[in-house]
Amino acid sequence: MSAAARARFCLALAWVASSVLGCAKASNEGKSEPAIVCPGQDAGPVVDPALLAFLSRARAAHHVADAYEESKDLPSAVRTLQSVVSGPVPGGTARPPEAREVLADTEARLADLESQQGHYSEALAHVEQGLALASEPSYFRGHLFETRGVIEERRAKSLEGPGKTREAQEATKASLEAFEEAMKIQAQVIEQSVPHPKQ
Amino acid sequence: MSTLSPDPDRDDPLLDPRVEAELVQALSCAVRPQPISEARNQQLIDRALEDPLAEPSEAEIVESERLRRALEGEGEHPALDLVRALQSAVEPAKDAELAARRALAEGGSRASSAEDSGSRGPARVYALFGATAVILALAASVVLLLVPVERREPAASIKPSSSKIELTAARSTQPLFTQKFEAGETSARIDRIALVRARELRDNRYALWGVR
Repeated sequence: MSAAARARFCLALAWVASSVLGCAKASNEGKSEPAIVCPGQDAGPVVDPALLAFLSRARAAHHVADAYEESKDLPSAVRTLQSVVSGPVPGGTARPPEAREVLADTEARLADLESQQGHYSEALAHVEQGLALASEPSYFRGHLFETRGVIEERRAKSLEGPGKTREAQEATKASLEAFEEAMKIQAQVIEQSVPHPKQ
Repeated sequence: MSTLSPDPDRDDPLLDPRVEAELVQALSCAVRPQPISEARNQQLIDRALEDPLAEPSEAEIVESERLRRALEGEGEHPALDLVRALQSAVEPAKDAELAARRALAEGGSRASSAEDSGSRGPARVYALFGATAVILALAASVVLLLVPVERREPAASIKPSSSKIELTAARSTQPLFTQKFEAGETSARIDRIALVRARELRDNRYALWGVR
């Protein structure tokens, strides 16, 4: 075998050997999948298409309710918003916080619309459902207590007249208590958002 | 000299009338967009909200493989020019490497066709080409052996190369609001929540696709 042929043979052999070893190394590497992490948050659900679909639906429903409210068709506005609170919600039993807060805000609006029509029991029921969803101190919870205060105010006004003084006074008292609770919650939220100086 | 600078002395060919008409229409639509139907709008929403974690379809797998081969010089693909233009914009040095690979491939096919047609090229040129190809292949194999490489993914699935994918979690929207809520502003609040979370969903998709 000539020198040139020997050189070519050695080169080819080295190439085949390194190809085999290199491919084996490449196939062994990268077997682990990249880990998915949510930095700075609890290990909970991520922002996903199901959540966005719910938010889009709720957003559209509120805009439709705006149109009904503007044309003074409050029953239609109530029906539209009712479809949000009784419709599909992502997460099943573990609803994401955004969904709970949007539902709570929707319940507050439903309560307001019902009380405008004189349906005070239904209105207060919506407030209770909203408070169950917004259980932590937040503007959402504070707004629900404010709404309760407004509902009791309207109820007190509707009870003005002979023979209903005591009920009107009770409604006024409930209204004041609700407003005070709302103010307490708003103050808590403001305090939590202000950074405290290091000691 | 920048390859993007127009040469004032060069006579560019006129656009094909059909191409010109398409360009004019595209520009008109950009300047004066027309409203679209509800059904079309819903189609676009559905497409935008499709699950980024879904398995690739057969068509997507086939098209990805075709594009991968076209990028390596085997066959053509409609998106090839666009991808190469994007690559040049990001990594101009690779252009030279791609050109060299194409030249090697063309040189090899020319050498073999010359042999098939019965004409003999110089034996020295053939031997030189063969030795160069072997040396390049050997060098590539050594690099493969010594340098950690990413796992070669199936063409259709695009996975990020970093070991961690950071996604934005679902969480309270309280931080979006700095003042107590006023009556009559529910729609505005929900608009804001939906807008912010839509942006975060888009970021999550880009993170899963390995694009940042």
